[in-house]
Amino acid sequence: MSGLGVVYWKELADYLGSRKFIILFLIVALTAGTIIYVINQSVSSDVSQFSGDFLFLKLFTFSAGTIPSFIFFVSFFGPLIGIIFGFDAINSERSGGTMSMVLSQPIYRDALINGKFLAGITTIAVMLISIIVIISGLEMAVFGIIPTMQELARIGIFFLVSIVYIGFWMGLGILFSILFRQTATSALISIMVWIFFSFFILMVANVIADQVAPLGNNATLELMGRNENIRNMILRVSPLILFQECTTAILNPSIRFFGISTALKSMEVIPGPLSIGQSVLVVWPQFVILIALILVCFAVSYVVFMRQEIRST
Amino acid sequence: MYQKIKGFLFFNTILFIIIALLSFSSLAQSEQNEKSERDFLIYSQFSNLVLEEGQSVDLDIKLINQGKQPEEILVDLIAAPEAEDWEVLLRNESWKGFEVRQINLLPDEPDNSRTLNLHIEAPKEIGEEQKGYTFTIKAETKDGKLIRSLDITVAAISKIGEEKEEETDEIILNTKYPAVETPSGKAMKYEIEVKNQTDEDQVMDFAAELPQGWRASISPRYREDETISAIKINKSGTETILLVVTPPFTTEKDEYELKFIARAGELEKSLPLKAIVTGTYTMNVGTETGNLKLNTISGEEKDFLFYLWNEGSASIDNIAFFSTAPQGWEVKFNPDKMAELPSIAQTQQPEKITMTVKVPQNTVPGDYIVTVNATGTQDQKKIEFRTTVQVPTKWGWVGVLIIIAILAILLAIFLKLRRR
Repeated sequence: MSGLGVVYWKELADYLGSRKFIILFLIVALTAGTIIYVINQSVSSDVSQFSGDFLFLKLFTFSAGTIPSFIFFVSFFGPLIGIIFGFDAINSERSGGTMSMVLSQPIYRDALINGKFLAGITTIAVMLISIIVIISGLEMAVFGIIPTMQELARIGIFFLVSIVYIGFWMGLGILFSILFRQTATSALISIMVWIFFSFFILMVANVIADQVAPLGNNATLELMGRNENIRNMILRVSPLILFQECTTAILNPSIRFFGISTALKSMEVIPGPLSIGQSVLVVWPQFVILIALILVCFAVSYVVFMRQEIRST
Repeated sequence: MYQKIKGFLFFNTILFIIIALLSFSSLAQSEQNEKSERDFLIYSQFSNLVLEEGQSVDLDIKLINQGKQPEEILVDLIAAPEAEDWEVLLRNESWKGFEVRQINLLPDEPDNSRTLNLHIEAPKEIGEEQKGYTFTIKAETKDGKLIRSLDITVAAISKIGEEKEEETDEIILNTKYPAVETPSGKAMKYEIEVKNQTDEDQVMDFAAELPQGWRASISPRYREDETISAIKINKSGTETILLVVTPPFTTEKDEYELKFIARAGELEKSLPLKAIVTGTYTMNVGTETGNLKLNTISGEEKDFLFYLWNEGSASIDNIAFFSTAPQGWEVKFNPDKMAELPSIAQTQQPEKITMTVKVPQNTVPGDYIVTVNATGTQDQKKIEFRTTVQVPTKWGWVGVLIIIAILAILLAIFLKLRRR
C-alpha cells in the first residue's frame, strides 16, 4: 500500500485547511450552540417536559418548536457536508490536470482513491466528534447533567452511525466525481439525490401508500396500519429515514418500534427503557443497510476508478 | 171389701205423703241445724299414694268452714315415727310457699275455704321397704271444741338399677350443637350448659378428650379471651361455658369424636361431641428462585418451570391451568391438567409444571405480563410473570454476515484491481 499514507495525510491536510471545512464547521457549531440555547430556554420555562431517565440523551433528541433536534439536524445537513467533501474529489484533479502528475509518482491508483476516502471519513469524524463534545460540554455546564456510562455508550454508537451515514454521502459524491467529468454535474446530481431522498421521498411515499391502501373518512385502524406500513417501507429506501430511525432508537431507550402497526402490537408491553443491546438490535437492519450502502458505494467507486483510462491532457 | 181396700190405699197414700213431707222437713231441718252449728271439713283428693325413692309429691289439702261463725283452725302435721327422713311440709298453695300453722276461715263464700299444699318427698334411700307411712294432718279449732284429722298414707318403693344414673345426673351437661363443622386449622366452638344438681356448691374441673395434636380451651361465655379450667357453680345453678377446639392444619378431612368431661370431686360427667373437619385448600404457585421474571426471545419457544403445591390439608381436585398473555402468544402447560393435588404434608414435594411460552415473531421487545391461573375445584391461584422479550440475535448475525460478505467482495476487488 505504498503511497496510501502520503495521499491520506496530504488529503487530510487539504480538507482540514480548506475554507469550505472552516465554513461548514462554523455553521455546524453555530447550529449546535443554537440548539443548546433553545433547549435551555424551553427548559427554564417548563421543567416538566424535561425530566426522567436518560436526561443527557434527551438533549440530543429534544426539539423545541421551530428548532429541530440534533438528530434531525445531522440527518438533513450531514449529507450536505458529505457531498461537499466528495463531489469534486476526483474530477477536480482530473480537470486540473494534477491526476496524471500524482499517478506519475510512485503512488498506486488504489492508494489514491483509498487515501481520499479515508481522509474524508477522518475529517467527518473529527468534525462530528468536536460537535458532540461541544454540545455535551455545554450541556454539562448549563444543566449540570453528568452522563452515565450507558449514555456515553449510546452517544458513541450514535457517533459511529453518523460517520457511516455522512461517509455514505461522501462516497456517493466521490462516485459521482468519478462518473462525471464536470464538477458542476457531479455536484448537481449529488444535490439532486439528496433532495430526492430528503423531501420527495416523503411525497412519493404518501402518494403510493394512499393509492395502495386508500384511507376513507371511516378508515379502520387496520387499514391505517397497512397504509402506515407501506409508507414506511417506501420511506426506508431513503438513507435519511434509516439514519433517523437508527439514531432515534439508540438515543431514546424507550423507543422500540416505528409506525402504527407495530404500535398496535406493542400495546400490551410495559413501558420502560430497553437495554443498549436491545436498542441496537431493534434498529439493527437499518444499521446494516447503512453500512452496506457505504461499502457498496465505495466498492463501485473503486471498480469504476480502477478501470478508468487516465490520460494526461 | 172393695171399699175397704180403696180406703186402705188412700190411707196409705196419705201416709206416704206425710212421711215424705216429714222426712224432707226433717232433712231440711237437720241441714239448717248443721249450718247453724260450728263445723269445718278437711279434705284431700288422694289419701293413699305410692312414691319412688327421692320422688316428691304435692297434694292439695282443702279446709272448708261449714259453720256460721268464723273459725280459727290450728293445723299440725304429724308424721309416722318411721318416716323420720322424709321431708314433709304443709305450705300455702302459692309456688315456693311458706309453712302454715293456722288458718282463718270466714263463714261465707269465697273465704270459707282454703287450699293448702302438702309437700311429701321420699328419702333418696329407703332402708327397709314399708307398706305405708302415715302422715296425719290434725286440724283443731283454737278453743279445742272441734277436731278433724286427715290421714295420708304413702307407700314407698325403691328404684333398683337406676340408682347409678341418678347419681351422675347430679351434673348435667348439655349442648345445643353437638356437631360442629370447620376447616382444619380453624377453631370450632361448642356452647355447653353445665348444670349442678347437687345440693352443694361445686367447683367443677373441665377436661376434653381430643385426637392427637388438637388443642382445646375453655372460656366463660361472652368472655372468649379468657381461658379457664374450672368453674364454681352454685347448687342447682347453671353455667354456660364455651369449649373452643382447634384441629391442627394437617388434620385430614373426616369426622372426629371428642369428649368433654366435667368433674366435681367424685362426680364425673362426660358429653360426647362431634367435630367434622372439612379440610383446607390453599393452592400455592412459585418458582425455584422466587423470581417471577421470564426471559424469552421473540419468535422462539421457551420452557419455564414452576412449582405448584397445596398448603392446605385436603386434596384439591380438577386442577387446570390457563394463562392470559398478549395477543398471539402461545402458552402451554405440561401437565395441563391434574386430577388432584394432595396436601404438601403428604407429598412432601411440590408438583413441577412446565410452561412453554411461544412468542410470535416480530414481537416488539420489552416487558410483558403473562398471568398464569391454576384453578381447582376448591381453590385457585394466580401469578404474574413479567416476561422480557428480546429481539432475536440471529438477525443480527445475518446482518454481520451481509457486511462480511460485502467486505469480502471489496477485498476481492482490491486484490484483483490493485497495482495498475
